[in-house]
Amino acid sequence: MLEAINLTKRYGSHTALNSLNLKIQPGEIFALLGQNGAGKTTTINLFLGFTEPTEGTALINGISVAGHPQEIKKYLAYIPETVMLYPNLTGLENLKYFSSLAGFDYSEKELGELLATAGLQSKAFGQRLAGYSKGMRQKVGIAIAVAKKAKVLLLDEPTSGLDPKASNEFSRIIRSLAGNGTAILMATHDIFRAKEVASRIGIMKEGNLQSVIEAASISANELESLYLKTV
Amino acid sequence: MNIHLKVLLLEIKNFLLGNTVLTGAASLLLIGIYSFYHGHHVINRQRQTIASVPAVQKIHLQQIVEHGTGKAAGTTAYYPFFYTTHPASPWAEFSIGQRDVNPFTLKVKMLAIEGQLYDSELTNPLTLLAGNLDASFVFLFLFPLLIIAFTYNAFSEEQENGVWKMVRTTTRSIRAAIAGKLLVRLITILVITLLVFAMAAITLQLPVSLQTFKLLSVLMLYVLFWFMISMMVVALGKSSAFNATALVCIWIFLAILFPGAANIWVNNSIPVPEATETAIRQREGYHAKWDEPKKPTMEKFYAVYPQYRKYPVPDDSYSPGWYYAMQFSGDMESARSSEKLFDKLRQRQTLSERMGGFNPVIAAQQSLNKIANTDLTSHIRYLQSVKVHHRQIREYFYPFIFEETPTESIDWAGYPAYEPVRYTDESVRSGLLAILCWAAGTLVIALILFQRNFIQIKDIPNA
Repeated sequence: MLEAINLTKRYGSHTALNSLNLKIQPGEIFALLGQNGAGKTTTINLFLGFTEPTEGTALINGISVAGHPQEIKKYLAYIPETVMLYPNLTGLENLKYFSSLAGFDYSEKELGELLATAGLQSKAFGQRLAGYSKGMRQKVGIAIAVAKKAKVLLLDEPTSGLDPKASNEFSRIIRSLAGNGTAILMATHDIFRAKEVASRIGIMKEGNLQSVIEAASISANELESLYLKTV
Repeated sequence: MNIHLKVLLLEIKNFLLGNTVLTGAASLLLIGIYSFYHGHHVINRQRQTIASVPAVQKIHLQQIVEHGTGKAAGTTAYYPFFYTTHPASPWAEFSIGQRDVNPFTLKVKMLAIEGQLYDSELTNPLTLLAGNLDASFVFLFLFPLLIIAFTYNAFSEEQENGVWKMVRTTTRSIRAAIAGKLLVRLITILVITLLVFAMAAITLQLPVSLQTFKLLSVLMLYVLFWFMISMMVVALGKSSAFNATALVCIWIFLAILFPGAANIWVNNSIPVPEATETAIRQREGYHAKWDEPKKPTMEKFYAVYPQYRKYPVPDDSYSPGWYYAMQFSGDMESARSSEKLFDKLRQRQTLSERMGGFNPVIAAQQSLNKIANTDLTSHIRYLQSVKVHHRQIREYFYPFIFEETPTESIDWAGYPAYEPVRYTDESVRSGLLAILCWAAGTLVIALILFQRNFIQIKDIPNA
């Protein structure tokens, strides 16, 4: 479970995130919409422990991120806009490396199954990552998240730059992860993708969470209108 | 397979597949091979020259005897040279040290010694200008560059391309992840160090001995020191460009600027005009004697060699006994400045060794030269052995000179053989300690920086 209590981040006089209060339950996908500089990535970075909050608390599974930055790592997985892994290693080797780093000892067969679950074609398993497309790298990133058995998944613009087919596939996998009880926080510009995969959607502006909407209660067009009106 | 071993093996694979590793290692191996050839070439030429000395000496004395037949010993004794040699140790090919600037053979006559000690030929000055690319140069100056190339972007590259975020969010222990990356680099560097050293040991036929082990110990510690320096800079958490620039600047300072400045400082702190002064004093002492009454000169000589008092020396005409006594008194008059010269040379050496405490590059260089017996101290020992041999020669021939023995009646083969300076096992403890202290100090700083910049949460763009 993810929770933000009065979570605030200031850089000098600039407030990047202002008193965010948010709770994301297991199995829930929460999409954060907003323009560049709205505070989406700052929120993700605060949950990842990449930056310290000025005020408030970010909790993962009830544990303070700032207080226990290392301990919370075992609960979370992260997929950035562009998944960057080791280009000299193959997809399978990258998965083996990162899953071992997370403390999981999978056999080659199990690693292959994880990659297949993430939608990577088997012929790509043994290819060096340098030759992978962005979509293929995202799939290895998903496989790492699945391999980690993460309870919390943080996604920062995960479908940006993916072709529609790859985006659809990505959405399917994300929903399936949520179906298995993973709490997912996704920062995105993509209103329609947010509407498609998220259970709740938050719209941010200038560091403030302006509104939170149940995705099922609004159509894509209404969401777009609301978004444009808000930002 | 153990999980940590899995990670380590993949780290090794990833590191070795990088562009810099194989290129850097191969370049160093090639330069290393050339350095072995160069060291062997320089020292082998010296060894060949030294090996030819007995034959040259024999022919030279035969010619002297032929030329002096029918003449008194005192006349003939003016001409012969007696050769001395400073043999190279088995480790000199590894670290040529000062053997290229200091003479390794000196020929002395029975005349005053001081001027003869510094009467040597230099090798081609252009060669001296270029310096020697021996194995010690490769280890002391090029290895640090390889270490820099292997480590400068250890984390910064991953921070710059985004992989580090994945590592940070995935790993259960960021310390273990950092240690793994560093360990892979350290293992690679140590393997290359051992490989190049093993090649040097085989090519240069270094004996399997404590000295060779000491040589290896100095190099391993030195390599560790540079690794720690690199770790410290990398731990600042700056960009690859910053790390590379900072490390190259440190290398320039420690390997070039500091030793250069230290050399100037040592030379200015302990000026050594005595070499020239001693030679001039000895020559003036000797020349003045021509115009002085002979008795005081002889009395000085008799004070050391009273057994020759019984031989008459005319006061108003030339005599060989007086001539050699006069040469001897020239040495006596310059003895004090000669002692001062050696004292100052030793002081310079001591001060240079103290400078090594402030700079591991100097400490390592001095330690290698000490092990190889190619340092200034070793050369001073050689000069002193030449002085001893000169005294032995004089004392062997004095009876023939004072008794005016005919040249052909002298046992020319019976003069005391020159005893070359034996290998001296000089302690390198202070050098090793200096490098160790610097490495340990740098490691502590690096660990603090890693904690601050990589382990604690910090607001940096690439986390």
